[in-house]
Amino acid sequence: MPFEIVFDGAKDFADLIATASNLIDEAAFKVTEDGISMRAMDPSRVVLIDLNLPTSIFSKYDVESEETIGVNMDHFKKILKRSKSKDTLVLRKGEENFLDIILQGTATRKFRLPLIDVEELELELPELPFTAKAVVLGEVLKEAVKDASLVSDSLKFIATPNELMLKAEGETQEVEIKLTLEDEGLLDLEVQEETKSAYGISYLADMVKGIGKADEVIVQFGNEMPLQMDYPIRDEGRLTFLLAPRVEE
Amino acid sequence: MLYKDLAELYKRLEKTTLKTLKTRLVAEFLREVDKPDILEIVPYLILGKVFPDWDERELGVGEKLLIRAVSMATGIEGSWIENSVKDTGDLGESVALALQKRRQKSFFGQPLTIKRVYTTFVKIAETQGAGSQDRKLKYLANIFMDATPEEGKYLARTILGQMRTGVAEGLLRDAIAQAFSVKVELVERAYMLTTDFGYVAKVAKFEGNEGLSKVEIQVGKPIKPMLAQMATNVRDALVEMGGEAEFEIKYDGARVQVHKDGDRIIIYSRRLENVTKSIPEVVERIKKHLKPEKVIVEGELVAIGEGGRPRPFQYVLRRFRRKYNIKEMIEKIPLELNLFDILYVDGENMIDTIFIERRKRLESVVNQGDGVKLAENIITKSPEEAEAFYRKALAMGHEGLMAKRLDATYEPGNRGKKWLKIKPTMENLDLVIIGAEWGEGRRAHVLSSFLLGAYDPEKGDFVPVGKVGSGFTDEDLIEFTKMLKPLIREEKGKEVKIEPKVVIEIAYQEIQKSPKYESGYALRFPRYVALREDKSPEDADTIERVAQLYELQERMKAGKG
Repeated sequence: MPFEIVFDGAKDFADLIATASNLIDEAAFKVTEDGISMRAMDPSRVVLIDLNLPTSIFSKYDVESEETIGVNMDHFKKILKRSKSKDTLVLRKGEENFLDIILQGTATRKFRLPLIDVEELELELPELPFTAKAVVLGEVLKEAVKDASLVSDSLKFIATPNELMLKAEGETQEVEIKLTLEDEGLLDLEVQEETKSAYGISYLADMVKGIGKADEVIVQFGNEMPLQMDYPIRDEGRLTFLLAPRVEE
Repeated sequence: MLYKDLAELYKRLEKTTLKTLKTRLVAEFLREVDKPDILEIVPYLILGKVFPDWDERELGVGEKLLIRAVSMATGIEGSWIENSVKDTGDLGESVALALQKRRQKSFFGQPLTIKRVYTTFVKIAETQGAGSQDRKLKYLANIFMDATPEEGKYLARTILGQMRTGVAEGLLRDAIAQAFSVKVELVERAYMLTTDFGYVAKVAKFEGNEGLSKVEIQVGKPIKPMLAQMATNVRDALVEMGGEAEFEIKYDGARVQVHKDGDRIIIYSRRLENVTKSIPEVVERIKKHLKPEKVIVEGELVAIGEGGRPRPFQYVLRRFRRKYNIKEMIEKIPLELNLFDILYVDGENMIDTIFIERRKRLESVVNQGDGVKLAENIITKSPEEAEAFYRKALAMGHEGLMAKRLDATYEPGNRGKKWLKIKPTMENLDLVIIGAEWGEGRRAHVLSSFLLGAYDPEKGDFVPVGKVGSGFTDEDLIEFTKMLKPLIREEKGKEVKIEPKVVIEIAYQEIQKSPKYESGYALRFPRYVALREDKSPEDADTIERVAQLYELQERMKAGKG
């Protein structure tokens, strides 16, 4: 059998896939002896997604041979949505071109998902010279995106040594969200120089839709540079979004 | 091959009105295409289309979705793009402007290739069902993300079907011949048999004259229909036909071409659009009543009203347009198929067979019944008998008669004298709306007078022959205003220029010689009769036809008719 992988708390895994599926229709997951990884871009190539799940976050990790499996994200998401928070998730693949998704709880429910051919994205995550880094609560980002979408289709991130400001300007209305280390929502802030950059709201909305309110999100950006968001998954795992900026007119 | 090169071609085509230059530009471009799969799609893209007209697939992308996609790809607000159309007068130009002002950055951009653009269009056309608008949006955003302003302009025009480069079928045919040094007649022949410029271009390049001369009818690909000229009366027609002819009822319906390959049935309209899905009951009957495994036949689809009398052809068009609740329509508008010709049967090409033999063959392959019939006909030498049949056809509520030469082969796409139609009045003209005027007073917000154009196949353009303002109800005018507004090219005071897209049927008292229009003719007392959605602008009556009708009318006046 190529692999059998067990994850406790199926709901968390479901949220992870749901978040990624907002932006991509299909994905190629690489299953190696080091863990599961996936890299993809949304069709407009504005968002790059990078997922890294090391073996340590799984309660059982048996991989016989390295394997890349292509899935339709929407189908994968819908199956995982059927899980309950206490369910244990088993991902199993044999010789056939199917992924078995098993939810163990009050009963054992097994779903079969046919695998599809997905082109693997052969690219390295660029090393970017970010000048601002903040650790923010998921709730803050979720609310900020909702606030901003009332007035504009882009959101500006502005970082000064003591403050992180999110600002949206419409034709007539404006929204400003200010965060200092005094605020519960901002956990850390490292700013090398005053940094400003704007990003499309619709992409941000898709990126934050699936995160938990209490999740600690690492946000990094530079002047008119991409924005990187990292969500830790069970400490050692990581879901990263890289979002291309909008430049000023 | 890069899309940039195609955009460059569009730009150069737009800059010149010279037909010879346009032909050369297209020919040079076609010669540069080396891959067969690209050569198959490029001719359609040059015509400003994605798929041939007879292909069922369509993009299903309107202005709104296009604007959203461009907005997504550029970070420029949709409302800005929409507003800028007021200045540019063309959504394509506005898209180019938005791309110039692009604010949204992306990762790993790549130049657009023709292949990528086409593959994306195919994906868009094949996206259906729940969430399809969203997926189409993303596919579109993907190509606009990598488009230069100029590429974006032509992408937008292709998507909306508003290319305006003045390349029509005739020009493309000449260009294919020039590009690959093959005979125009052979290109024409191959096109008439397959209606597929992609295929024809490929054969021309890789197999030359010899390959083209071997092109055969293919079940599934429509054949350009043979057309008829107008005769003044039954006697004239009989003389023209050489003393003996077949006369068949000219049904007031919609002409269709039926392709049967086993259980696979395709029905094409006169415009060679695939209308199969709209008339499932006809499909079922064809399966039962056409005996051969593989066959192509032609007939007239007629809507049947009370007492079996025919209803006007617009009823059949209503059936063609219907996409939902088709079952209900099957009962509301029952149809009858009257077959009159056979073009292919079980591996045998019939078009070079003479008419009388084709008709016999047709009779032998049709099991009449259940709304599938043979067109009612007589074969006669007697003018009296033909006259009587003509009166009978009219009494039955049909349009008139068709007269056909017994020894005529089937000439795809040709409007010759081997088929003649005989109808009681001066024939109505199908003309294209090329301009309009805003009304006054009560009609201030509707377009209420329309400039009519006849087709000039030489130039691929439309020449004015008159203005029509009567025959419209208030509802008609509101409908036409809605339909024409997005097609407005230019506005000057009350007058607007309109993209030639909409064909209407016009009745008139007579055709006059007139210096007022460059065509040299003007219609006297034109009156609106019907919207001809079954016709594309290129199917409209030609300026040559107008001239012919004028001659005919003068002859009748002189008592020679």
